[in-house]
Amino acid sequence: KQALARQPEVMSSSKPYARLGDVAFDKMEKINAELLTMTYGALVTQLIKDYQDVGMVNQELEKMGYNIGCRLVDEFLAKSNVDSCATFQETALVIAKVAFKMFLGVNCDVTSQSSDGRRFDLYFKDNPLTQFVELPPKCADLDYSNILCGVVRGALQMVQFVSEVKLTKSELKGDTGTGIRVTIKEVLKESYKDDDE
Amino acid sequence: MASLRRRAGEGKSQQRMLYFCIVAKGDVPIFEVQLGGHAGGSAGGSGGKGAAGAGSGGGGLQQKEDLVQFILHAALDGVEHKVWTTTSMYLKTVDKFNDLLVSAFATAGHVKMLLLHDHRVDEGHIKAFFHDVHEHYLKVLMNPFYEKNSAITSPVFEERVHSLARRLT
Repeated sequence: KQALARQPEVMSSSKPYARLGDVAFDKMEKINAELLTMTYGALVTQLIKDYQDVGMVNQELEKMGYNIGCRLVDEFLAKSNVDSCATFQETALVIAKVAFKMFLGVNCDVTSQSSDGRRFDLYFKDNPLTQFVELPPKCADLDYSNILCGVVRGALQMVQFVSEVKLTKSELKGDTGTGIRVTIKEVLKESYKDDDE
Repeated sequence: MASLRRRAGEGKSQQRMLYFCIVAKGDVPIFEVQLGGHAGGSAGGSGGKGAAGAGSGGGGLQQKEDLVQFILHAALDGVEHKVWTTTSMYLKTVDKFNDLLVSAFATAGHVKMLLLHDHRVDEGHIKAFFHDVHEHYLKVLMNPFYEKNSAITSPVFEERVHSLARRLT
């Protein structure tokens, strides 16, 4: 089963998800992309002015993303009509093909996945958040799109996956696109407390 | 043509004088560059009539650089005058100095672009140059890290201006 999940098979089995992604994207209300870009840009620059420390800003962006992700996942599951995932491979595809397409309008790919499926890389070009942005030298370590990492982590947390999400590639740092690495650390079991006792 | 330009200080009449600068509201230069001929320019600092750093030759050229800044500053008066006479952003020639002309382009946000050149440059090319630089300037403005009216230090922008300027020479 794991052998089937390697690259060529992933490509062909991603088509139904890509379709779901496109359908969900069409249904969503749209806003002007430049408005999003400029709002996010203003947010990041204000954070930098307030915190003055790039490391702290990275953390804050991730935290903000986490809060967004916790709420976003409900809307996602309601509007996207995806079935529950049987494997981590499917989880990765759903995030890439359906979620990223639906909310950001980007065509995202799963570029690699470990054999147990718990670690995978997402990659997409034309990140709407980074359009027109050039990092000044003093912010060279800034993970500008870190909010997206937080969103993925928050969303996964709400479906009982504890994960670690990091930006691996950034258009602002010379790469051709944005790369995000997701590592699922733990699967939580739902525990119900007895109300009687 | 390149070897002729290298002879700084001698044969000045053969040197292509082409100097471009962007001046923000309040007459603060935010971008200055020497185009065509001399490689490299200097990113503008704030205010000041300091010599542009591109002096690649003897003292004669250095003097000329100071003069260029002076000419452009004086041309700003001509720009102010012409801005209210036309609705288009391209202002054509606003000032003359000996055999040099200053052409200008003024945006609605009072950002002025000045080009110091000799009569050999075609007007149509200058207009296209200004419009293209203006588009790239808009992209710089869209960068959230760029503060309006501050010096433009983006190497990408400088490279684009240089490549656009090659069409002028």
